[in-house]
Amino acid sequence: MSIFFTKESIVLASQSMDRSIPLSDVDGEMIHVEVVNSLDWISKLPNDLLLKVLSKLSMEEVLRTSVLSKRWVDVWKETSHLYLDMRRIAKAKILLPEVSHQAARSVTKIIKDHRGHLERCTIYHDSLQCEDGVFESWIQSLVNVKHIKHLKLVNLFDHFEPITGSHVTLDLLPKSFSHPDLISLFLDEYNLETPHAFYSCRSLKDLSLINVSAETEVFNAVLVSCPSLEVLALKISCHKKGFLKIENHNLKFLFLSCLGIKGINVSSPNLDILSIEYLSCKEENFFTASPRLHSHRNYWAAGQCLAHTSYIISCPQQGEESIGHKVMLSGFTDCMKMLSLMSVSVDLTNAKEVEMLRQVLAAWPVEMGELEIVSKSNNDAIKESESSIGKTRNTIWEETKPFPNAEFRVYTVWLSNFSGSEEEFALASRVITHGTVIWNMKIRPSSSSTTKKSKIKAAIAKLKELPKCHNYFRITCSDEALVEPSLW
Amino acid sequence: MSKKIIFESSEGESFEVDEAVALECQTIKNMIEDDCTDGGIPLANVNSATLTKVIDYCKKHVEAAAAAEANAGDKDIYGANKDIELKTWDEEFVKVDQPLLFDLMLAANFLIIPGLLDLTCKTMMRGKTVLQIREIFHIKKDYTDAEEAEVRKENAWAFE
Repeated sequence: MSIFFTKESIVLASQSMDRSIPLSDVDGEMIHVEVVNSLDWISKLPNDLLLKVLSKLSMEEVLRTSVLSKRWVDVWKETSHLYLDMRRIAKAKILLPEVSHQAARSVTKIIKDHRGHLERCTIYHDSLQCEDGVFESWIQSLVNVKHIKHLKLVNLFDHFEPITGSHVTLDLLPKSFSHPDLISLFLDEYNLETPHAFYSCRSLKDLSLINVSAETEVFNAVLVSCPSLEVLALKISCHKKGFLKIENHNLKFLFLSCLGIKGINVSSPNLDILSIEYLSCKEENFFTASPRLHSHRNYWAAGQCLAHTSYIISCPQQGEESIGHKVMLSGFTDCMKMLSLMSVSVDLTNAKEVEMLRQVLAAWPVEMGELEIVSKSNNDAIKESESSIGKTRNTIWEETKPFPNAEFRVYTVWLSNFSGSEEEFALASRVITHGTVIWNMKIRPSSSSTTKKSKIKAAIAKLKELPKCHNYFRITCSDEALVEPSLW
Repeated sequence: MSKKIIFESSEGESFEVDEAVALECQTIKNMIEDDCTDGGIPLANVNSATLTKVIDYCKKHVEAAAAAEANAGDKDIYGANKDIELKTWDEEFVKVDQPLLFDLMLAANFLIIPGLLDLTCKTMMRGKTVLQIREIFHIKKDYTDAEEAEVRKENAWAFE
């Protein structure tokens, strides 16, 4: 439908979708015949509208529309999403070889029957398909024939060797994923012997390798082949100890859980979010050159990296959306919820950034162990957002309701770079008086002049006078000189 | 005072709404931008009952968006609860008989109101059997039994 309308065209367009049967008479003029309500007018709708209805249905429901009437027999074939879970096709949790082959044939048939544009496809399959070439033929037709944009492939647990959990090797042709239309790829439970399937993946923006094993050098080669990556999630196991190198320039979001690596070098200058579940390397072999991510907390203890997430909130430019923030609010936080330590860098005077902080905390599925809030210093804030989007209101913190909501709980809150500003005080008093923080509030003052010090001191004294919800709750400060002795 | 836009339903009834509410419709937004809304906008296929509902929907969502905007800054930080409230409102909103639901979907498609289109599409067929869908929409089975069995066989697993 054209987006430009004149009054006349709107009348015409509206008539053509009226609940009546348009007939053409000899003069080509439209005659409308009013019809009774019992007529099947859904079948008269154009396919694009029917497909919108189908997009809300399960795969089974979509396929079942084919038997409604002859009008419907091919409609489902143009659906833009395919969700193919062989367990659901076979109606079994465990796929015996016979059943597995049959379910795979159903998947192949659906992919073959599909017509037109395909946006997204998810396949849960069995290890057998990787061995008999079926898997490769799916990839071929989805990527190179259907020009799919979002592809998710999950190899169901290998039921023949449940103890070793040995992964199935992805044996694909070189450049299997290099089609320019493919922008997101999710692979779960595979082994890679070579990186060549990933060669020249110039368009790929979002890559998740979950439960994937390979040699470190293979992973490094994969990452070099994907220069446009903005979101990267690696839950990997490396066969040969080596240094993992992540140098993708456009990366905004990085999740790491790496077994069997000797060290890791992250040099992605634009990273907003770094989330680490596990690293098998020592602290001295962990290098990040992402200056924007500066936590004051040391997340290494006893030679181990503690699972944590660092997020530097910054407002996207008008009209853009922050891709990292989107990931933070997506179901991916389910993967991250075990990582109960979080450090967020935020400008508390910026309404938009505070709202982003609220969203992230409100979306957190469980209690959080420790939350560090790093106040971006005013200088930083000005540098960050020259246009200062959302920086118009000073009243963000006037309300006194729970932040981020009534449900969220965190055991310890660190306030880093604390300068005793109104906003910091408002945030602190809100999480204290509503019992959002349970055990501890730890204040780490900004290094500043003596005049500021007295302000910080006054703010801390005031916080300590607030009514508290939890008996054991304490406020501490890393600089003891800033706390009135009598209060301890 | 905000600018008013006048819609005219298929019965010729006039509905005056705030421009902000009319802007929820992408189609109308384009018309407003092109400055061709003077003297009202005739919607020859949208009847009064449907138009009343459409305007209700747009009003509610304009109000909710305004409230959310205010929340982001100052007032209320129960953002998540507000979302739930609006969702519940939406669910109630589409509890209407099938012909009206259908008319709403057509109107949403034609006026380009993505949220309403999404909502009505969601409600249309979900969780219903083939027989129920045929009955609700008066879809006449034009297959012979043998033909229907053949189509079922194509993706038999979906029917089991």
